[in-house]
Amino acid sequence: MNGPESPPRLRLSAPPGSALAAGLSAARARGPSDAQLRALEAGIAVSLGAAAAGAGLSAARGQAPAPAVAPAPAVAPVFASAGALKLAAVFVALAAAASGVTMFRYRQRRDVVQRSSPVATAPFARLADAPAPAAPIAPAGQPLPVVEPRVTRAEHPGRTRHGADELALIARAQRSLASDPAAALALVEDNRRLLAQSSFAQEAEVIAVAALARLGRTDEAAARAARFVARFPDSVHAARMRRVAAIGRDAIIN
Amino acid sequence: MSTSFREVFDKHARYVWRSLLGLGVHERDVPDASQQVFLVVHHRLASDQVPAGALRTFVYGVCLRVASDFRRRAHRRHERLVADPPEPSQPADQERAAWHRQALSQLDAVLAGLPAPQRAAFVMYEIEELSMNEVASALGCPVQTAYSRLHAARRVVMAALGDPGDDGGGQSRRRPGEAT
Repeated sequence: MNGPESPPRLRLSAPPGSALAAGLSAARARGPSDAQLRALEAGIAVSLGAAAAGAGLSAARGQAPAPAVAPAPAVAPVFASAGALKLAAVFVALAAAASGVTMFRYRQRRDVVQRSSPVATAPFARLADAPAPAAPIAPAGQPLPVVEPRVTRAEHPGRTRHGADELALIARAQRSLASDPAAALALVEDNRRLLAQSSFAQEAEVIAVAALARLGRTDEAAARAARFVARFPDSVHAARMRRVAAIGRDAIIN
Repeated sequence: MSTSFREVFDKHARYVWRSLLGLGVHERDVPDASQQVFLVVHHRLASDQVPAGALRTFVYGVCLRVASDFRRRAHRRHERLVADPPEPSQPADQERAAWHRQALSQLDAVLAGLPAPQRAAFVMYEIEELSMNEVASALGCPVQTAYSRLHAARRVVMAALGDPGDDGGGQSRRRPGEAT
């Protein structure tokens, strides 16, 4: 199926110094900055929706899906006051943020057979895009194609530190976030120094904020989100952390 | 062959971004266009519509369609499209960088004047350096047709950007110590 012989690439045959050579080499060199790339990744994650990013992607690859985000029904009834709405809003904001984190998990699982699966994205895109207020965490009437929150074994940070890299830590924390936020928080906190130096420092903080919010420690979540924004103003997670920080403040005022 | 969306993203994000630029999507629209490409790719991967072993050309085919959509949209607001050419992300000394920017904007201008299929063939072969078989498959045309499109595009580009000795582009060109 060969055609005629491929001509030598112009880049190589163009006279050095010609506008052609310079233009072609510049065209090959351009591309997104790392920040643009991360923003793109986050944008895609949000578009696919938090749960779809977890369930859809894993299902597409034949994995047992890990708990994506917000198995909120278990949490919501605990907070019956007006604060509950604020808390719900925090979760909504976090759901989108966590989706970004969720994607990182897939780096380490590459050996699974792909299987076809419908991907339900719409409800989650709405969930993720919803401006903070009011939305109950579970989209009414829409069964989450999620995800039995797997009852995790107790996480042992000490063991993890020896057994896996930072990414594995983040993945484990993210996984236990839904079922056992205290464990997720402990995991991130116990490995704080390691994670802070890794390229997943931001994701670790996002998980910590999410865990605090899940534990009902809204004030701490908000304060930590505010610190996150101060520290990583350009982060892809910054917008959502900002929202969490703002919501937390309101919650305190009211 | 199993392929995860994550892998596809890691492997192709830069290439998608760059190709969209080369295919005439305005820099301002490239983030949106890239996102659209990956949403389509995700959808197709999830529904198992991606032929094994042809991922790269598949992704490129999606780029072509998305770029064409964005170009059409851009025509409706072309008054906003005169902007600085995108800067190469490499650090470089200023004079050389300026020369590269200038050359790149000349190249972009020439490419913008080509018919879309010729432009696509040129970008894929000369910038992305796909094989001619891949180019043909991404374009959905016979290899011979891809060749003739490539050659047509090359003639125009070479006439415009020519040799250092020529004055083919009709513009004076500075040539600070070019080391490639």
